[in-house]
Amino acid sequence: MSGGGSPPRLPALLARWLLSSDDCARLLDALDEEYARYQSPQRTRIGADVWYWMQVLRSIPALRRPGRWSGGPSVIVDLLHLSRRLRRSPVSAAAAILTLSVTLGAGAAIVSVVDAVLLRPPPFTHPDALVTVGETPTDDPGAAPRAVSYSTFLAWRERAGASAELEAFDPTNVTLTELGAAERLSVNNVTPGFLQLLGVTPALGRLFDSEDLGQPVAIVSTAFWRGRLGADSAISGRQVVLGGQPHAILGVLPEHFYFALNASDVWRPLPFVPVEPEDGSDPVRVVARLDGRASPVELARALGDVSRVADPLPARVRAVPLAAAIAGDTPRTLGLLGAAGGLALLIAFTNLAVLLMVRSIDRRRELAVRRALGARRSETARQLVLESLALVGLGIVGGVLIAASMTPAVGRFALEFGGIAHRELTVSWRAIGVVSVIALFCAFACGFLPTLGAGRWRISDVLRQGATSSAREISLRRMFVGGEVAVAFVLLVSMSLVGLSLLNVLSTDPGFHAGGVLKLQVSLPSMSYPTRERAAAFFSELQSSVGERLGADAVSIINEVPLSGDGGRSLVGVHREATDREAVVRSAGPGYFDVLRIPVIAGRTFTPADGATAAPRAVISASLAQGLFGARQPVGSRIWLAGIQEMVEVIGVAGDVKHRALDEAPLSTVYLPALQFPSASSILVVRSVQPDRVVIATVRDEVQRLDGDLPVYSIRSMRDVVAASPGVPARRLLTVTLAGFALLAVVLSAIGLFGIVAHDVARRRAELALRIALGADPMRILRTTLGRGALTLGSGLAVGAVLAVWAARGLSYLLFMTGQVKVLSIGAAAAATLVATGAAAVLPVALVAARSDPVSTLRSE
Amino acid sequence: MGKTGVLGSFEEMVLLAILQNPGDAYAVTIRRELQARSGADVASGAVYATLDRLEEKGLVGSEVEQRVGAVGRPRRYYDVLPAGRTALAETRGIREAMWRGLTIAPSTGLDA
Repeated sequence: MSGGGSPPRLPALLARWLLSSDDCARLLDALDEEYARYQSPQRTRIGADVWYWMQVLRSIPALRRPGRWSGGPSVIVDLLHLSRRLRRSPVSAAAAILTLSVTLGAGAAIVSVVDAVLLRPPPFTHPDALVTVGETPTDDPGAAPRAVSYSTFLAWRERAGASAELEAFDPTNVTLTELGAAERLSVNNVTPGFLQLLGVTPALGRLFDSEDLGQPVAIVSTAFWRGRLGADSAISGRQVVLGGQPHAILGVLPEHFYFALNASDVWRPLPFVPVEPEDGSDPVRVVARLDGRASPVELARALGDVSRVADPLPARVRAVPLAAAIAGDTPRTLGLLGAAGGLALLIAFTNLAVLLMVRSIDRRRELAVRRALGARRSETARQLVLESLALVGLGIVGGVLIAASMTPAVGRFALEFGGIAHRELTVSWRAIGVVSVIALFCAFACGFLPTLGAGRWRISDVLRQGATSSAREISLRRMFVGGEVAVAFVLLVSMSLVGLSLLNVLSTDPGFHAGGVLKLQVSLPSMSYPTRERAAAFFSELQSSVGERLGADAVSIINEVPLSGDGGRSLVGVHREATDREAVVRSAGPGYFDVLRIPVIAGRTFTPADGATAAPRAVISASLAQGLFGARQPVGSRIWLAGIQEMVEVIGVAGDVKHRALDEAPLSTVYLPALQFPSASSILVVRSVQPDRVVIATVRDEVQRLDGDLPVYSIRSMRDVVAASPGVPARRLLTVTLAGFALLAVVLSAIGLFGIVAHDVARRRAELALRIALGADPMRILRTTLGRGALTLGSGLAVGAVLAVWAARGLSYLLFMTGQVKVLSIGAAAAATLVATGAAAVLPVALVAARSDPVSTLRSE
Repeated sequence: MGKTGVLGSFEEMVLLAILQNPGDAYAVTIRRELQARSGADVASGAVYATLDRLEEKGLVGSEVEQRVGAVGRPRRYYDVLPAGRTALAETRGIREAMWRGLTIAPSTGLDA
């Protein structure tokens, strides 16, 4: 595109504003003339406009000189000067902006996650009055509160009286049919007043009342209403089929409602009318709203009066504020993440401070000259501050962009690696605001403070000596860099400790072999499978038909896989009166121990002959055998199992497996034959060399063939189950995060050390040259130069060592099998890393100093 | 430095650019000359500021003229005064004195 256009008007307006009319006129004349010629056939219109803009922006500062009239705010001109200066030293400016953006962005993203999960209250009315209440065993009062029986809940309600309102919920799963393919849904069965307790008002329809108890009715979430029911406003006529039974929909919950303890789309009243509460009914979890006069501890104590005398096992009561219950174990992990983020910010600000100080020192000469020519102190101060603010401002803009794009990723990362879930994760503007304010303050301080000394400089001194730092500035810089080294050391040590613990945890033996095994879950609705026999027949048929296609010894059934928790416990003993220990009870099909490769230590495991017609029998774990029978042979003996109120014969002993977590001891286990004691909701475990999709398709096929309305769900590999088991995700999350920050810290401290030593050498060039000329040994020069860097490094390491001890205490809940020797060697390795990096950064400068030719150096001074 | 006539490097370049365009040296042609010979895209404002300074020092003189065939406002044409020529010569002499005896091979530094 060639000429003919007129130049852009905005630059002209700017020139008119900021220049005298004479200067403006002649400038624009010259530029307009060239603009016409600048648009040649080879140049585009845009290129010409850009050229015009640049000419105006660069000419304005040149034409505003002392003694000439200058209009408009000088800040604008200062910014133009600034942009020119930044263009002249782009590398250091870019380095400052980039470091700041990345650390601000990452730090703000992490703080946003912490803010969202820990600091935002749950979306209920007066959430601080809500607590979850549960029982803990008397010998483990610190355990998480457990669900209680319905009769206990009723007794608690009575005992609590007016001091608290108690409601209960039972999280469960149910199959949804006749709305597309059969699907397994998470459902909350609740006492009628539960939703009112949380303070929810329905978006449509109504909530439960006391007459809905035991009725087939449901309340659904907005997402469910929109997604499955087409946002039908005539909701009261609709039905959904849950567990084979039609349920009338009473209402729709508001969109923002989210129950984090068990997020679900469907709510139902507890299905049994509690005229005669049964002991065998599902346990319920209790939520209470305190009336303001009672504290959680007082409530727990009052309810403890009921639980303390309970039979068979007395228990204590614990009341935990709802927000804390939702957060669970995550506060500590998130706290550590937050601390790591805070350290990253500390590193960023330290580096920024050093960088700004260096820049202001370099500009000292220019500033001294300007002062001598009559520039006021406020002007020079303004320019320095403006420069710092501009750098920080650009860094903040970059940081905000990075934080906005990184926060969802950090949230996903926290979820995948750390199991930390939160529904809405957006960047926290509070976090960005706080960080930005700190950064700007830092910029102001680092830009302004150096000018406080400006009045005392004598121009002759400055011009003669060149840019020098005062002793105070030098030691300040050393302190900053030493601080960076300390932080880097702490991060390295923390990362290594957590990483080592992670490796240790992952290499513990879970008691089974997870590789190559898939788990797939199938649940039978009680409507279609009302008896034990029908359920057992289904699973037996399923196991054999899948076994035919994938290999008979490749498949088995279990009601809960290892590392999924210790639910389903029962008291067990050698006879009815002597039940004093608890065991986890599992229902296992024939071949289970082979599929999971759990070692069989004595006797045998289950076969198809261990069916409904045979006498009750069990396989017990080695630790239970030891506890019940000592050195005696347990096979052939009988034990009492309170959960089924029967004596069973021990036919075999199997190795222990871990149920709760890899870093905890295994729990005593009793395995019952699935053919005798089937579970309506069972898991198929499949070990096959076939690819996963083939296995999944095969199982789905066979389930479909046996009963078309059954979904196959919760499909995972056992390796994933191990990797997601408690203790692993948090350690993984922290190891990776700490590693990232450690790397950043090491790099920044190396740069800092380099900067200090280089500055030192430059400052003392004349002195060093003189020494060498007078015969000093260059190696001594080298050692002295290195020595100064080593001093900073050493003091940083010393401070870091003290801080690392502190940090290790904060990490102690994550540490696993890290003995004292290992800790010391980790510390030594971290120190060695920093020394090596520091040396690599400092050595080139020191060598240059030692090798400098004294004569040429002295000449140029 | 002692002598009065030594010029800054940009001042020297502007004076030389004026001399390279005898009779036709105004801001646009001077700037273009500088760009053509040095390769740098010089800011017009810098040229104007330097011309003003040289005029204040008495090294250049100027005159506003409306020439035949020229478009737009009357231009200010510049000319190097005798003092300016003296300053140029002096500056050149000093530079040559500094350079005497040196050869610079690119990228390997000084060979004394």
